[in-house]
Amino acid sequence: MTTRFPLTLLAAALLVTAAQAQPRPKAKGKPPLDATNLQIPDVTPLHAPAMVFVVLDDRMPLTKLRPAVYMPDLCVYRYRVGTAAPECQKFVDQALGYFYSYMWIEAARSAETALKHDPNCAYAWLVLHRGLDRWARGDATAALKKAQELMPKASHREQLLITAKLQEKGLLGTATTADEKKKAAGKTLDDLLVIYDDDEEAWYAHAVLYGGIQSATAEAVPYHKALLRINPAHPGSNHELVHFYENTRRPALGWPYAEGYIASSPGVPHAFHMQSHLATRIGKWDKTADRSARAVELQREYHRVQKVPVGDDHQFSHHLETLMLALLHDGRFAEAEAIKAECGKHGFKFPVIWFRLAFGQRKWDAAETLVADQRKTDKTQASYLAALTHLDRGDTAKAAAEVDVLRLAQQNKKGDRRLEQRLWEAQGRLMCQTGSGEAGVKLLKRAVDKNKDDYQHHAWGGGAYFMESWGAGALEAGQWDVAEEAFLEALAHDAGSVRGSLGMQVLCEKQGRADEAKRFAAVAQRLWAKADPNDLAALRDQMTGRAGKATSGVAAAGSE
Amino acid sequence: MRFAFLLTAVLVSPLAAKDPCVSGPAPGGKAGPYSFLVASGPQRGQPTCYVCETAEKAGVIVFARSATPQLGKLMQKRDKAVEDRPKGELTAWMTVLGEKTLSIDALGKWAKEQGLKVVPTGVFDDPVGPPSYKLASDADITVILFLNRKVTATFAYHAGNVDDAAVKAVNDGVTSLGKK
Repeated sequence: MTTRFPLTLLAAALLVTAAQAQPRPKAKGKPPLDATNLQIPDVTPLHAPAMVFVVLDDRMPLTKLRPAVYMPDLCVYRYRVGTAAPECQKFVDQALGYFYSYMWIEAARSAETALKHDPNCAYAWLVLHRGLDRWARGDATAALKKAQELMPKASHREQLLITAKLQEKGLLGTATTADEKKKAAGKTLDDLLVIYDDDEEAWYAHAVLYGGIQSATAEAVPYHKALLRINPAHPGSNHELVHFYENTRRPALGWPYAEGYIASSPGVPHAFHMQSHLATRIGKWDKTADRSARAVELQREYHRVQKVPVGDDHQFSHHLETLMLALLHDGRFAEAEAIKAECGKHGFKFPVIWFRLAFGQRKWDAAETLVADQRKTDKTQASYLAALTHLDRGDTAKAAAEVDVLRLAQQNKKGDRRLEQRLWEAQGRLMCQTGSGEAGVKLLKRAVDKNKDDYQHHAWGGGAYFMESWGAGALEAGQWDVAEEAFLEALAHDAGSVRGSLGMQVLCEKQGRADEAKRFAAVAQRLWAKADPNDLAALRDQMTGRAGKATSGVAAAGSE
Repeated sequence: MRFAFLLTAVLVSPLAAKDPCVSGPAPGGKAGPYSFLVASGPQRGQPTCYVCETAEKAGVIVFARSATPQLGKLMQKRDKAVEDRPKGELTAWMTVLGEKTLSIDALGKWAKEQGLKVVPTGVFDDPVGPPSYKLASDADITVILFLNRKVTATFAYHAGNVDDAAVKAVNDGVTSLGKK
């Protein structure tokens, strides 16, 4: 019965529509843009299959998307526009909430949905223009011209905001160069702010006019900060300032805005994701994974409610990748495995992360399978990953063969910095395991020195990576003083480095520094509080094993 | 243990005399690298390791669990001490323990109110502090002096115990630090 009902409905709808269908009129130039009158496509009985499609398909004419579903808890931002239709207002607000989170498709969808409720709302047309323009689909210019046409019916504020956008786009005024257009638009926005200094859209528009988005320049910052004094929960300004402070290498200053962004947009996945851009750089790991998980949870809900195919959501794969990294960092392997499976379902591939997942759990078969896959596309990377696996398992002969491959590859790619550092890491660890500890540790230190001031390398928790390898090598080589320096450096560069903490714990235990050992153990425990305790124990045992192989470090015991 | 006899100045109130404040590494121990989030100074907003930047030169670290007027007084003296030395000879900074103790912005404001000029301040998220520094949970202020990464003196105070004599004791230690 349940399958028959839609078919019956389909047949009835087909008959009704067929009876109403008129001959397809000949086109007489471009019809005026009107969201309520537009039909897609025009139909005749000759187009019967298309008619079926049309009846079942409620897609809107301008975005070719289904109408938006209203999500009341999406975003707290409200901007009253000139409409008497409450539904129009609701969807304009929703469109802006999405827009400020770079969900362009949804900004356009919600704006067009708003226009279904009030096609004469000039500001809704402006928001539709902004959404289409960023989404790079549909006719954004036509939407802006429609807003221009409706300007006489709009409020004074809206008239000025539309005017500024027209000037910026070169659709109004005499400006010809990009700079002149910006200058004209900027003057209009200044005039607006002189009269209406509480206008949030104007402050935002002024900020992005000169400062842009995502990689905003400093010119935008005073405007964003002024706007946040009026409304501390403005999603757009909070979001932009997170990017700004990340890009300008002062991530801690962006943190209050990351929190503000989440508060402004409790139903937006990207808001919960964005904090990770800063948190992973400033060691706030206790928040990163859970909030990244929340982002993905909200995103699944968004796909379901708005019926969005995953392929149309340009943010999803990045959010999943970030979540995987955070879970891996925190030793939450079971959850990471579930996300990996979800990635696989959608065709997202992150081979190095998946390797690290297998490696972290000592699932050697899975790691070797991933290495074998890598050999088909990137032999050098495959050798690097294979070398790490063999070194961790203590198979120095096999590791040496892979290091040889890396060395040969590096000779042919002298300028490849990443390859060079990978070679130093693998070769250094190998030397530490095969009796050339002093030279090995120096090589590992070289990799550290190349990276320790590299801001990009410190994103997503990568800052401590080579320091952890340096520490592991020094432990294996019995150079405990060096190992201590390496592990402390690891913790200085990533306060969430569990390997740094465990390395220090083991060193302190070996040297009879019980109080310190206890403190480092507590840090490791806190960092992997949500991990399987067996995984933490296994990692600690691995560190103990490394220190146990060496003897020369004993001399350092009790040096204090 | 063999350094236990070395300089460890402990200034306590008469009541606390029976319970001296012990916090921080003993003289002779290492001043290990650690980063914190800088609230005031040119590195504001950046995770920074000043121990690393100080390298083999003289350094003064002040760990604090609350931002009090006494702490302000102590820091003003550190500011002056750094200013009085040739550039780069002495580095001093203050690390507030616990992200919930003070936000970066609140600490930045506090530093401005104290009139600090050259001594940066910042926050270490974990209230326990960097583990290798062995900071006591009941020590409101721990001052560590070091040279060439070796601790030369440690001063520790319970809350409310930083008086003029305490400030003077730290000053005397800093004045001689790194002087040939």
